[in-house]
Formats: sequence, structure tokens, C-alpha cells
Amino acid sequence: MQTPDVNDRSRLLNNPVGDGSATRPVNSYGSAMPSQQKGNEQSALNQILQQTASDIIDVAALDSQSLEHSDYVDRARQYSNRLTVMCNTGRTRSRGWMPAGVAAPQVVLASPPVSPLDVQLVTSMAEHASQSVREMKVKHKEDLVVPFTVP
Amino acid sequence: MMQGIDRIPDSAGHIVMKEDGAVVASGGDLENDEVMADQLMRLTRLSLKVLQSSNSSANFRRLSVIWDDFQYVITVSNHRVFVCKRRPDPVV
Repeated sequence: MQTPDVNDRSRLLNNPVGDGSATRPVNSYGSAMPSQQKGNEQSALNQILQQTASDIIDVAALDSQSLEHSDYVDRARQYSNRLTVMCNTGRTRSRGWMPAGVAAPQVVLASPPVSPLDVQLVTSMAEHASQSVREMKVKHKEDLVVPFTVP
Repeated sequence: MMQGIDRIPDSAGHIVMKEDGAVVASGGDLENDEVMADQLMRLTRLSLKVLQSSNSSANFRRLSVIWDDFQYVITVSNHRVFVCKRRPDPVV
């Protein structure tokens, strides 16, 4: 079924890009740069070196920049003060908003439920109130704009 | 911690929450019901806020959310919110 020159190693594309027939891009590093610019190239390299050196954070050298002892003590005190303040405010905020409440929750929860009559009363009162609000209207009686009599 | 609220006779479920909303204990219908716990907590917070804004000394003893066949009863004790879902016998 297979033609003799097609096997698993034969190329699927007739003219692949990399087979040399296409024109290669010009090597822009060597030939495009004239030799007189070598000095510039050197300075550019130095610049890159300096840039890299300034960008690097040398972890090993950080130990040498130690704080003054007094500064260290000052900062430690400042941080611990702030921490205390934060803890105190956080606690009062989270503890303070809820009242202490009842002493025996199980007794309160187990006590007889609100009687249906009371529920009915509250429901009907709420209905009346909402109906009253709905029927509230502004009655036009006199002019809003009163002309002043200018002598 | 539970203070015996799991032994309320007509209880169908219960939740105990801290005031930050963390569920301390739950059982029955409300077992591990985070959504319901969150809603009940918000309801409790709102009720407390409304009462505190109207009168600083006022507070509710028990908050009942009443449906036709069951009710949630909520109370606050020792900075915790205790909720019990009750199915009381229909009163004739």
C-alpha cells in the first residue's frame, strides 16, 4: 500500500525551513558592527556590569550593615508598643460589641414559645402600620410659592 | 460549652456560635449548616445593632423567628449565640 520512498523517516514537508535553501539571516553581531565601535561596545559591557552590580542584593553582605544597639532597642520597644495597642483594640472590638446576655441560655431557649395570639397581634399591628404608611398622602391645600408684595 | 441546649425537648437542631461567627457546636437539622449559621448570625447582629442604636441599655432576651411549623429561638449568653430550632406541638 505504501509507496517505496515513503516510510517513517521520510520528510512530510517538501521544503522545510531549515534545509538551507532559504536565505539565512545576516549575522548582525560580527559583520554588521564596524571594528571602530569596539570601544563603545566595551563601555556598554561595563555599563551592563555596573547595572547588574547595583541591582544585586547581596544577602551575605547584609549582616555587616548592623543596627546601632540603641536603634535596635528603640525599634523593638516601638514595635512591641504598637503590637500591644493593636491587640487591645482588636480584643475590645471583637469582645465589646456583643452584650453578656442571659445567664442560662438553655432555660431561655426551652421556655414556652411565644403564644400564637401574640404572634397574631404583632402580625396584624405590622399590617395595619404598613397599610397606614401606604395610604399616607400629601394633600394640596395652599400654594407652595407665595408671592411677596413688593411696594 | 453546650449548656444543655441539645436536651431541649422539642428541639430539632441547634447551633452555638462565637461572636465572630465561628460555629462552636451544632447538631440535628442544623448540623454543619454553615449557610444557616451565617444567616442567623447576621440576623442576631442586626437585631443587636437596632436595639443598641435605639436604646443603649435595651437588649433582647430571646429572639424568635417563627414559621408555620417550626421556629428558631436565639439567645446570647457569655458572648456566644445559642440557636435552637424547635418544633413545638401545635397549640389548640
